[in-house]
Amino acid sequence: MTKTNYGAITAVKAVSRDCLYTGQGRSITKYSLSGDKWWSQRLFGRNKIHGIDIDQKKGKMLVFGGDSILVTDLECSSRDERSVGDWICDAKFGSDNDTIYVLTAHNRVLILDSDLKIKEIVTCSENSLLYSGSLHVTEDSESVLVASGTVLHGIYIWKLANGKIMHNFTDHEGSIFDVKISPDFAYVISCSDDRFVKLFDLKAGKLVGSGFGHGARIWQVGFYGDNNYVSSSEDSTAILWSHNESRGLLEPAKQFPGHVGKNMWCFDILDKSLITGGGDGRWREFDLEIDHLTEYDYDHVIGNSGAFKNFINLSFTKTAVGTANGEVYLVDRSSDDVTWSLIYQNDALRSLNLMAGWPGSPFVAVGSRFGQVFVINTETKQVSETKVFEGKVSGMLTRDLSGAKYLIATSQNDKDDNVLLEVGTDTQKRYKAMDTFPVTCFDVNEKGNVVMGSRFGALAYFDTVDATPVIFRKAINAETVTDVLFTDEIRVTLTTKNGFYGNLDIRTKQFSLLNKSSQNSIFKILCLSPLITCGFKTNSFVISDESANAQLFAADCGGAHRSWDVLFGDNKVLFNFVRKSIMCEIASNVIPVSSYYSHGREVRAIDVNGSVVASGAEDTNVILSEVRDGQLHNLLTYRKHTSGIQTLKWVSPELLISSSAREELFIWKFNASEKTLTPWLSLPRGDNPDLRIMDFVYKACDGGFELLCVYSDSSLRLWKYDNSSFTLVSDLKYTQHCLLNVDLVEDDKSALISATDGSLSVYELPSLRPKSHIYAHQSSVRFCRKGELIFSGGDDNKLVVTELKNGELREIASIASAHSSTITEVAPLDGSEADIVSVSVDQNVRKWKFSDGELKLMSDEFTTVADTGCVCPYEGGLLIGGAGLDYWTE
Amino acid sequence: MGKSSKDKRDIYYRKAKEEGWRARSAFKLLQLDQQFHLFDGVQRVVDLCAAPGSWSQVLSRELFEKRGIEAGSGKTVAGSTFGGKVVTGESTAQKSSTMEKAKIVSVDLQPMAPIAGVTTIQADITHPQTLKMILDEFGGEPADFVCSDGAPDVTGLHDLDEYTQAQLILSALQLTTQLLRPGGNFVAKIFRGRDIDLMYFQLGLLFEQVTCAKPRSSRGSSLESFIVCQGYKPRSGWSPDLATGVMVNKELPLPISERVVAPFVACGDLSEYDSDATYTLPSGEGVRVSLDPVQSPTCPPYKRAVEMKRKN
Ligand SMILES: C[S@@+](CC[C@H](N)C(=O)[O-])C[C@H]1O[C@@H](n2cnc3c(N)ncnc32)[C@H](O)[C@@H]1O
Repeated sequence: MTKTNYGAITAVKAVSRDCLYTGQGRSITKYSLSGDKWWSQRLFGRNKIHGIDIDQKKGKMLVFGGDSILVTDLECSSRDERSVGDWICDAKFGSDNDTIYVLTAHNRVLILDSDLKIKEIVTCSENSLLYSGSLHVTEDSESVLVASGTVLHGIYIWKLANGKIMHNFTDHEGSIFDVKISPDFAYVISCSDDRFVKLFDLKAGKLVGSGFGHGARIWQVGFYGDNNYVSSSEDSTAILWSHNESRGLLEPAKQFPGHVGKNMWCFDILDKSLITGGGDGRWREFDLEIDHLTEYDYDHVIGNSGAFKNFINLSFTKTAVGTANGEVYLVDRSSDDVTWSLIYQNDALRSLNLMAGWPGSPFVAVGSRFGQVFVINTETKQVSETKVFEGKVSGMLTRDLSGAKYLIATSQNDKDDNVLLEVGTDTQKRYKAMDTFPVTCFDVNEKGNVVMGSRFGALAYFDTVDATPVIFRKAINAETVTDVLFTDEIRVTLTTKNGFYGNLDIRTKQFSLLNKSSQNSIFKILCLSPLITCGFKTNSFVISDESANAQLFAADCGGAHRSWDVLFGDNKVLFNFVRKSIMCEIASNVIPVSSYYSHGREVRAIDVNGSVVASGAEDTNVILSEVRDGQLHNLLTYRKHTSGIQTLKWVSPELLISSSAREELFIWKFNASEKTLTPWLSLPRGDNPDLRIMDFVYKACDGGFELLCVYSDSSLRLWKYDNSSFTLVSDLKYTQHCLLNVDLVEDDKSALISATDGSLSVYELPSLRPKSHIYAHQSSVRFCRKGELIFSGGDDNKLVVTELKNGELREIASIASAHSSTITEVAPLDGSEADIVSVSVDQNVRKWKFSDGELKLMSDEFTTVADTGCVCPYEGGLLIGGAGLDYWTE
Repeated sequence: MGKSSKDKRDIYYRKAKEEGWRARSAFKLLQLDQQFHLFDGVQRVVDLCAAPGSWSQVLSRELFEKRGIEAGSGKTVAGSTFGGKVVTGESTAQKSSTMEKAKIVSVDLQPMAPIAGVTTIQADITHPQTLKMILDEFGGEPADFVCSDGAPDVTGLHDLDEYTQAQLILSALQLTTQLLRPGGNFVAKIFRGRDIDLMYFQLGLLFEQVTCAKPRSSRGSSLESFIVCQGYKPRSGWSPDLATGVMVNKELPLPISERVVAPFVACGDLSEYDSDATYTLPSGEGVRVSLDPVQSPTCPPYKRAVEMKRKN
């Protein structure tokens, strides 16, 4: 059996660009920074990996986590796990050959030889419990310093040679989560529950800098170069800090928005790269070079040119700038001296802020108050003029279609046509104005079809210029359509100002994908495959890879209400914007993401449809993944629920249903060729934000379907959908106890439910008349049905087999301590010798068979997934969810 | 989420406020007592990890109020060498002779507002010196009951959180072995995680009966339970040191594996509120008005950070 864990990455060690080790669950995986996965090896029986040290000269690797430690080679080909009997805070190779140092949570250092035999145990005079700590070995191993982070008493720096304390830094409040000494033994950096990063001068023994910047707790700190520091946090970002000595401050120099959900647990630094590991099970690389920020004021322009109105990045080195004086400048950064040259001036352009361009070419276009469009070649300064309207040009939009440069000009007068021009030709197509349709974006394809989006959320498709357009009045809600692109002849991808994107079929008028970005807004599609968009998230401009669910770039520019432009490509970003009349320009490198990600919060439900896995988690998201070559690959993250997912199920190959608190239950349509979801229906709901839909069962029926749902307020409700609306057929309040599971029994003529009071009950359908009731457990019950039998697991560790005969429930077998903790799910197994599988928060996964009136344990396996909450059998293997995700193949 | 939404969501939170308990945890101890009669004949108690103090309130009520003994109001006394602070109940109560027999000592990292008849110590229970301070308070007399509702600030690294939790229990157990009278009881909060069976095994060596109990006021969806250890049987030489297998000149041992499962008991009546259920409060006057917490939450270390964030 292969067990792959997609849980948190809790250790990273970067040796070279070809060799990155990550500790994920009990396994070490070797990658290259370009994304190749070389191999993965499970090293520990139960413990998770928390640290890796490498001795390159000897080709050895030291791995530790929990109370386990082992030494192996750089390919992890051997695994001899040992226990030090206490939590390990840090472990390091000595600089001489044979010594290994291990710091434990009781502020004790074990000195081991290379066979892990104990040579000496050194106890610090202060032995309070540690949350963190690190060992620092000098080149000659002569002196080893220990930095210990305690729960209540701050930081101790002590000498291993004599166990004596050199310093006790008590400047933090609360538990110390990490503390490190600089390689030259001059400084100490630390972080704590108080969310501050602090820098100490080791010789002087005093605090020299303090920094605040993370939105949550900080887990790891480290040194970068002489005056820079890095921290990673629960807020799932890293910060690069610089030390402002005179003010005694650590100031954020760059922030890395890295991971999905919660927690960036760890990082390592290789040259100028930061490699981070997150709670989402993904590692990422970031460029530690501080983004180049350039600011331009009016000194750069001739005379009193007035405000910077508009800019177009034509390339990473050339930007056209339009001013309120009707001037167009070209800023050229190709040499070290940035030059500003005046390209064009025309009083007709005064106070106008209309400019558009075609990146990759030297052309920009400006529109005038008198209805003219000037196309300017910024290299040759040639200008061609076209008169399109009598009045003011109010909008200009551009598109480049394999070298052909298109422009749509719109008029202030909403009765005027929208005029399509092609640069360098006389083509001028006049599209009839549409009622309440201010054009905000457009696209044109090879066949000459044109699609336009409007500020009021409408989309118009023109087969030809003279044809009557097909108009969708509310394409996505009624929100401004910000960008639209043809994906093929009949399909477009569009985005809205409130952050939605979707794929729309012009002919059928159906969406095959409709989703919300993690951004608050989307303004542009930067790339279609993978789908990369840009927009704003509170005060920051952001670029996101929607397919990989990863933020690629963020810049705090003050928000969307300003002029800005962005150029993206070749893993580079050029973003410019106006802030307080100053034109700012940020150039940055963007490193794409390759590895698989999970939720970053507890996974609560998993179900499979063919090879497509749907998972739902506390992070409120539904993720679709695909199984290929025995591995999981991400498809997309869906954001629709507003509270943590309780349950999700594929009820047919075309339909997925998910439920959560706020009485949210959504029915999604699945598009099998695109492997995408579109929300279809939502169940009527009340206004109690705490009311959770705990489980549901679906049954297709004449002219629609029925849905039987159980709620956290003890309600059982039978809904019917008749292809237009939902009606409540019947409704029952069980007691005051929260209901947990529901299923259909007795040929779908009855419903079986379970509750937190330990009961199983049967109700007749659709009347909901009670039929049978037993207390199978002491408290919370989860059950599954297999044929005539009901298998249930409880909070009471017990596993019970119940029979339903002639409408009566009867317990026929049980095991009191089937697990040592809460059984969180039991699932039926098909085509296996065992009948069911049970999972528990004791992290054991057990398969059972019921025969001869007895439950027999068939197999017992340990899972890396803590807070184990759900299991889904799949092709002889299992998918297990909780704090992370396991995929076991047979 | 605002205060009022929490009122609606958490029925026990609301009930605690109405009944004057400092925390909803009070109901957990009350429901444990319902099942195990923990307070019968008990005079001298240590309440570990006690802040904000609802268990101490319950104990104070059971040991003084219910037995018709007047307990004084608490007062604060200056701290000690390593940051520990002792706060004792007022002397009026201590004049009574019965009173001298009853004693409640409460310990927490966080400061606690005084409670009638309760001596509070602000200290880390995992610190060796804290043990001494508590023993000093008892002046050589044994205790009848030791309880701990301790929980670390969880990090989300389940293995680390479970380790820290286990350390709190082992510290409590260490105190227990030095203070609890033979036959006395010990109750501690546990997370029923992956190594809880190792813990059951260790506890089984020291008590006649070990039960894992889940009060109905504790959410089913949380890993929390309580280990109820009845009938202390001292074992000489037992030390709750995890690192016993590690000795100089020896190879490191293989990971340990002695595990047992303690029987499970759900306690509290089924007619009591279900902490997992959603309740709709009757709409009407006064109901939507949120109640003030009885005891304001103690100050977390990140308080300053949160203030800075708000200002910025
Ligand atoms: C759930 S609260 C206890 C509630 C309390 N029983 C009541 O009823 O009000 C857990 C407490 O454990 C305390 N705690 C955690 N670690 C501790 C330690 N090492 N020493 C002392 N107290 C600790 C915390 O400060 C917190 O107040």
